[in-house]
Amino acid sequence: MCQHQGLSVLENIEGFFQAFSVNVSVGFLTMLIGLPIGFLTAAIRFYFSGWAARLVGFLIGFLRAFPVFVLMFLAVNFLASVGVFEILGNDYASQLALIVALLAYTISACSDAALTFFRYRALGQMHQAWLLIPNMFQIFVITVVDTGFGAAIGVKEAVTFTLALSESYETRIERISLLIVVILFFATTLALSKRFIAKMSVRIQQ
Amino acid sequence: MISFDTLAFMRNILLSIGMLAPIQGAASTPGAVMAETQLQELLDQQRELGCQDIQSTLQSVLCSKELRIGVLTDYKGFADKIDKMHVGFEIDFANYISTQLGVKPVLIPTTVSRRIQKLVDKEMDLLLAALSHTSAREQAVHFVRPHYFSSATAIIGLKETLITDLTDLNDVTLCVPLGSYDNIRFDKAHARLLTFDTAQKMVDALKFGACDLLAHDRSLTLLEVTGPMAPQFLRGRYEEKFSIDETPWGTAVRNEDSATLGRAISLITAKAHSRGVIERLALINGTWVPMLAVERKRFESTNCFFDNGLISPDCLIQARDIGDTPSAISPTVTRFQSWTKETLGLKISLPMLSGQQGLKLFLKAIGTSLLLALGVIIATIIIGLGFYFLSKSNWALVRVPSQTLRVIILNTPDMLLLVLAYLVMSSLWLYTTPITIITGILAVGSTNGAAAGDSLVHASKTLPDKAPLSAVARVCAIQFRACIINATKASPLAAFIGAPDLLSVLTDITSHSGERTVTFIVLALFYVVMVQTVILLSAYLVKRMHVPTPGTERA
Repeated sequence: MCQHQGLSVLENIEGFFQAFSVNVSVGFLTMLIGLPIGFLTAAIRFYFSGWAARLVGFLIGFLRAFPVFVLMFLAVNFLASVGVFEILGNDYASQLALIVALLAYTISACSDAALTFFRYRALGQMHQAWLLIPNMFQIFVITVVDTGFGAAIGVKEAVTFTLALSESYETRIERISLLIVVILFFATTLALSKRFIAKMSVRIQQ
Repeated sequence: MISFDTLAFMRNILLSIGMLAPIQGAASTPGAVMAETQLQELLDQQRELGCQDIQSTLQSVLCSKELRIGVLTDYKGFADKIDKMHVGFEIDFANYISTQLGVKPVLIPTTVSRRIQKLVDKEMDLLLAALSHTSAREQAVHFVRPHYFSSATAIIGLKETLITDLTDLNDVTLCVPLGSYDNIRFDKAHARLLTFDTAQKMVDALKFGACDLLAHDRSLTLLEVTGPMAPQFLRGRYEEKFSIDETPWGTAVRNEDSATLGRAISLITAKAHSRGVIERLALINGTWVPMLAVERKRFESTNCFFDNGLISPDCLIQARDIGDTPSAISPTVTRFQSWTKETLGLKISLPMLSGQQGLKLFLKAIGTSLLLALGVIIATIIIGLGFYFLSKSNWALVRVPSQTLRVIILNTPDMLLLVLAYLVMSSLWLYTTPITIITGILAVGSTNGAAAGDSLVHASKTLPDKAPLSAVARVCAIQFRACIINATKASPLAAFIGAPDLLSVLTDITSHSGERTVTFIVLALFYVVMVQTVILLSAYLVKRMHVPTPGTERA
């Protein structure tokens, strides 16, 4: 994927969007795993008291404090040592390491959002409680942005594609220009997503 | 720059004049005949074991008819990937080895930092990836001898720079490859090291003036920078200043495979030397070195072969002993390692504590990580306040661009922002270690500062126009705290642009020691404790501000 010299602009744009689909699918898979675990842990924290709630609360706090970037390197090494790279191959195994790392954020964030949902629901404030939906969407957007960390372990996503493409340019100004274009793409896409979330929040509260 | 077309053209020329003929031809020297005989005996023994009860990797390879070979993909001349095709000297040699075993080569792309680990983890059967044979690495994997290549480490700099030996490296910015055994020597010489994970990034850094000097295998520097095949604008400006010790390169197998697959590869390598195959492969790929001619001569006769199939030690080059000198706490570390082995049954290794230079790098890295964390916290606060005050400006010319910038930064992946900051900063200043750290601080601080500024701006909208900053800060204290915690968590990202923090240094140490369990536990503990400290301190501060509600945090 990382040989871009000689490719046309259209082919590079197509390659970028293919790579961006990896960001979205990794983000989606992370949410798919993180959401139920987050809800389950939030339910334990809300409905139970004593050691179980404290233990889960501690675990969520631990995940919240763990730097995703460092966790990603730990995951790569752990998965490699248990033979996952051998079974899945480089591409899927490094995506799995990224998902494992992002789960630290997604589980803790979903758990906190779900806990807030349970609390407001118990108080009968359903409008506030259902802000859970935009919150989840927000967590998904942040997770997709953070899939860019995968560039450090070779996940073939949009940031990796951009950096590889930039390396095929000879001058610094060309590289900077490319990065700015991609940054503007991310900024526009995500800012619009957030705007959509904000509108959704307002509708729910109304 | 040498292109794939050039290599293909050279290969065709050499093929047409018959230089590659001996590769396909029959064994032509007494040494080669001897090696071939012994190889076939070994392979027959393994084949007789059948495919039901697999006892060794060689048996598995012969049964599956596939040999998984770990190769690099960005080492010009040796192992490059051009248009989805693996090309280079090591690739040709990998194909040759597979042909000799009668199996299909399956090339497994690897990186310098993970090559040894991948072999140990059984992701590949054989490693053929520019691996220098050092005594330290012998503890992790088995090096096959005879070696297939040898290279000195060349130090490259601008022609007008006066550098003649290691003593001149004091305070000089030196770009080095991740996982190079020579990095410790350069650090001892007080060079400021910038570590890169690919050769391409290193050459780019040199080209863009990010480093004064570059250190890499001479074979690569000749192809990329100083040799006749290097781009004109590079070879016109740069030259080799000096070089340090020649080190042999070896293929490697897992320790348990030394007597089977290791021995087979050893005989194949000896045969290839004897017939001049390796020398010719090097010639067509532009990587020839005199060592290959010496090895060819050495293995042409049967003098190097014992009757039992082993190769005389007198014909084999020794590993370079370039281990670190023991640190002051080395005896304590050794005692601790023995204690854990005897009492807990845990075999642990602490390479970052046992060597003098390793310990120094480790402590320096801890200092750098703490500095980075402190720096990003301060930057987050300053940039956050900056965005807040700019958003309050009466001039639309100031207010609107600042808001736009804030939105852009908020929605940009951190890695892209880091690389952009690296490109900009290295164009303005010489990319020294302090500049690397400042760049990391500014990039990570910008992302979290934009979020902090955003929370201040939103909080101010809930208050009267003239509300003081203290009142605004009180409203968004939880969100502001989350930004500071997130900034601390994101501080190790600076390793991506070469900051010598703990993540970077420990990754470097594991890449040549092979040890990682303890190393990564140490790494995890350090960052968790650091982030928890920030969480506790910030919670204390928020509590003093009497702020009641919970907030949200980012990854």
